Amino acid sequence: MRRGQRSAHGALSLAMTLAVAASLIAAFVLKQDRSAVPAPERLSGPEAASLGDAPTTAAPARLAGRATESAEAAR
Amino acid sequence: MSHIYKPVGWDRSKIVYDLVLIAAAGAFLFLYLRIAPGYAGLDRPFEDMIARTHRIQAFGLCAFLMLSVILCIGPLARLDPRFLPLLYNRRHFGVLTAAVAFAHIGFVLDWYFAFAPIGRWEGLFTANVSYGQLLGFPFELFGLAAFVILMVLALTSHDFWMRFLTPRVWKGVHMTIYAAYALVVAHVAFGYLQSSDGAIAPAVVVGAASVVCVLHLLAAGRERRIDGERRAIEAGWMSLGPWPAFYEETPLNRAKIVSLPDGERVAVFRHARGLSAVSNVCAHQQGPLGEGRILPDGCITCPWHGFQFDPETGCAPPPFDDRIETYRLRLTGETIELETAPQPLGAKTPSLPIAGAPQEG
Repeated sequence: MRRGQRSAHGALSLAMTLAVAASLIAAFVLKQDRSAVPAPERLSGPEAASLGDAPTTAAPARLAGRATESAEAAR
Repeated sequence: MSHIYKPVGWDRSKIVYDLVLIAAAGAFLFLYLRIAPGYAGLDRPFEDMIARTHRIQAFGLCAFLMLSVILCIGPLARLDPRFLPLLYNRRHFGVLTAAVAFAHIGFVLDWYFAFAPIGRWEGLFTANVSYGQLLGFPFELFGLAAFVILMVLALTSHDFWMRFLTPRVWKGVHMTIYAAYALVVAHVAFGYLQSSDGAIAPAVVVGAASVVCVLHLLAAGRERRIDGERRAIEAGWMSLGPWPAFYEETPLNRAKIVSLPDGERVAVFRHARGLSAVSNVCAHQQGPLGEGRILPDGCITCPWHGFQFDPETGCAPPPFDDRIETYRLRLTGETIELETAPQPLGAKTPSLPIAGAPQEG
C-alpha cells in the first residue's frame, strides 16, 4: 500500500481494536449489573424482552402483532 | 487499466478454497444447531421458539467467526509467509460471510418481526428507540450497519469494480471492513452476550475478538519497524548497507523492503543476475510485492493474487499492461545504494550485478 493508505489502514485497525475492547468491557460491566438483579425478578428469553429485561428490541412489535392476531381469532 | 468485466477465473486452488470454506461453515452450523440446544438447557414448551432462536444465533455466530478469521488473515500473512495462501481467495471468504449474515438477518426478521402489525423493517427501526441508555440499547442497529458494509464490500469485490473505482479508491472502500467488525462486536456484545447464560459463548466471542486485535497490534509493530529504520542519504541515493550483509539476510529470489524518506516503500529483490528495486505496491490490489518472490519465469510475483512484473522494467508480461515503478541501484565500494526517485514507468532499469556474490541460497 501507498504511504497514505498505510497510515489510514493503521489508524482504522487501531480504532477497531479500541472499539472492540470498549464494547467487550461495556458488555461485561452490563452483564455484571444484570446479574446483580435478584433472581425471582429476572426472566430469560425473548418473552422477557417484552418486559424490558432482555436486550432484544424486537419483542414489543412481535407481541403487538400477536395481540392483533388474537383479537382477529376471537372475532 | 480498463474496467472491462472479466469473468472470475476459476482454478483448482480457488475451488478447493471455496469447498473448504463451505464445508467448514456448514459443519459449524450443523454442530451448533445439534449440540448448542443441549448446552442451553431450555424447556420443551417453547420448542419452536427455541429452534428459531438457535438458528438465528447459529448463523449470527458463524458470520462473526468468519469475519474474525478474515481479519486475522492479513496480519498472519504479514507475520508469517506460510499464511499467504489464505490471502489468495479472501474475497470469496468475504462474500460467503455476507451470505451467512444475510441468512441471519432473514431469520431475525422472520421471527421477531414476523407478527408485527407494521412492516418488518419498520418494526426493526421503531420497536425499540432506547438510544439514550446502554441497557436495552437497540443493538440490532449495530448489526444492520455492519451488514450494509459487508454487502457493499461483497457486491464490489469483483475485479471489475476495482478497475472501475481504481485500486486506490477500491482499497479505501474495502478498509471499512474494520468499522464493520467493530459494529459486529458491539452487536454481539450488547445482544448475544447479554442473553447467553453459559460460559462457552462469551469465551468464544471474547477469544476471537482478542485474537483479531492482538494480531493487528503485532502486525502494526512490524510495520513500524520497517518505517522506523533510518538510512543515510546523500544526493538522492540512500544507503542499504554492505552487500554481504544484504545477501545474508535476503534469500535468493526474495526481497528486502525499505522505506524511502517520503514514506513510500521499495522492494529490493535478490536474484540470479544481481539486485533489482521496484515499488513495493502491486498495481492490482496494492499488495506488498516485497513479500512475494521471483518465480522461475523471472517475474516478481505478488503474494496476494499472483500478478507478475519484470524486475527490470516493472511491466507485467503480455498480454497484461500493468506497470510499477523501478528504482536504480549502484555499488559504492561494498555498499548498496538506492536512488530515491523512481525511473519513468516502463523504462528499463538494469539489474545491479554483484561480483563475487553467491548465486544460490
